[in-house]
Amino acid sequence: MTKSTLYFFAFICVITGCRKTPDFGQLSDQFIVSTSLDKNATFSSYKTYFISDTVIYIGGIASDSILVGPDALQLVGAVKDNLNSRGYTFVGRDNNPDIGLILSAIKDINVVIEYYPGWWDGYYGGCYWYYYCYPYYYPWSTVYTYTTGTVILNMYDLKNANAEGQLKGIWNTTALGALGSTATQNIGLGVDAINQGFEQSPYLQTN
Amino acid sequence: MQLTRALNNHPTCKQINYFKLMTTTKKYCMKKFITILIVFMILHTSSYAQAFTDLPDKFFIGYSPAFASNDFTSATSWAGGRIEYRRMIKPNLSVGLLGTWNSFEEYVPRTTYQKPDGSGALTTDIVKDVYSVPIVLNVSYYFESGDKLLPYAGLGLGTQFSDQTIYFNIYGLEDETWGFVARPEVGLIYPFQGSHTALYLSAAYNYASNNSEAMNTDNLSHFAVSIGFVFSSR
Repeated sequence: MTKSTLYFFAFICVITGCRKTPDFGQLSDQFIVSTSLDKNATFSSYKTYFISDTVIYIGGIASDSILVGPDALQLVGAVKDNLNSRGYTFVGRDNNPDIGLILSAIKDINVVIEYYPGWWDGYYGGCYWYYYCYPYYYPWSTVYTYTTGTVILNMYDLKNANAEGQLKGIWNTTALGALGSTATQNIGLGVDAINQGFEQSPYLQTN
Repeated sequence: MQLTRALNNHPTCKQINYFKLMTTTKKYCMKKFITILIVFMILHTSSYAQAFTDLPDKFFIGYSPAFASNDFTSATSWAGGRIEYRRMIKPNLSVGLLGTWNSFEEYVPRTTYQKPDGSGALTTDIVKDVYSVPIVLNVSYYFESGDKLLPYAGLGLGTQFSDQTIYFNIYGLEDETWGFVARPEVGLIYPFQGSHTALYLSAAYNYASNNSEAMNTDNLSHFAVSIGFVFSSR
């Protein structure tokens, strides 16, 4: 091997081999919280709201359902607490609420199957000229899953619904991220996300 | 403001494959680097009675931390290196090819970013990551010649590859760009007496025009310092 060949390999090694992987341990597991609003809406013109105690739950293929019981109540309770503290009043469905809210949760299970070594499916063995002989070997793979969750809170203008009964969405929070292994933990992430959604929307006020 | 645009509008939002990252992480970087240095030292232990600048071919290899100075990040990269070839075309003038690499990383705690048009906001904590590899052709002028301490000044022109990523939760937004590079540099070379080896120390400003619409940045410039060895051969 000549010196220049050595230098060449050293060059390739250092250029490709020294990329540092960031420390993902720094990242929190709190949801990413995004809010959007109708800029033409006057949020102080609404006084009363209605939200169901039931959460729409989308949990994968053919398992769309609703979420009821303590978990749903915790999430809905977070919405109510925030709205009440901003001056809005909860009324029944039949008492002409000014705004209506719908809360949905989505749970996605992602399955990843990875083959090594990359893109081929094992070796079939054999000899390449007279240099090397490879035995046959099986490809091996790993399977892992991770679960992500999304919480969507939509606010609709019921007060100014037009004659055709069309409703206008005036505010939305979408929060998403990886889920933990326990329901308590995940509901906690959802409640935090709802609180953050209100926190970054100071314009939601009755006065 | 800028980040919100990046987080909301980027079409190639993808989920990070943690397992792949774990299996491909290279932790033996410095060890490999030191091994290469030692191999070079062994190749160059023989001594000749010839002045340092009389030897036409020079190979630089060294450690190179960098300090980002752009809108995207102000992170310091302690993970970086440099490799360079120079050819003396006159007793005090050389032309060369230089490559360096740096990994910049910056953690930004949970922050609320307002959408530029006032239609909402977004809250998350993020890790910003930039991997930069500038490659330039350079000309260097030496204020002394022979075997003394050699101060030099140079200018490099070339291109920079950069991979910019914003990581949040388990997602990442990534953009790869190429840009134009102008790299003025000053340095000192200290030849070991009766040897083909020298020490060098340099400082450079690396202007790079890498433009990323997704990340809302129009340059990825940085300051770089570098320390290492120079090996000469005829």
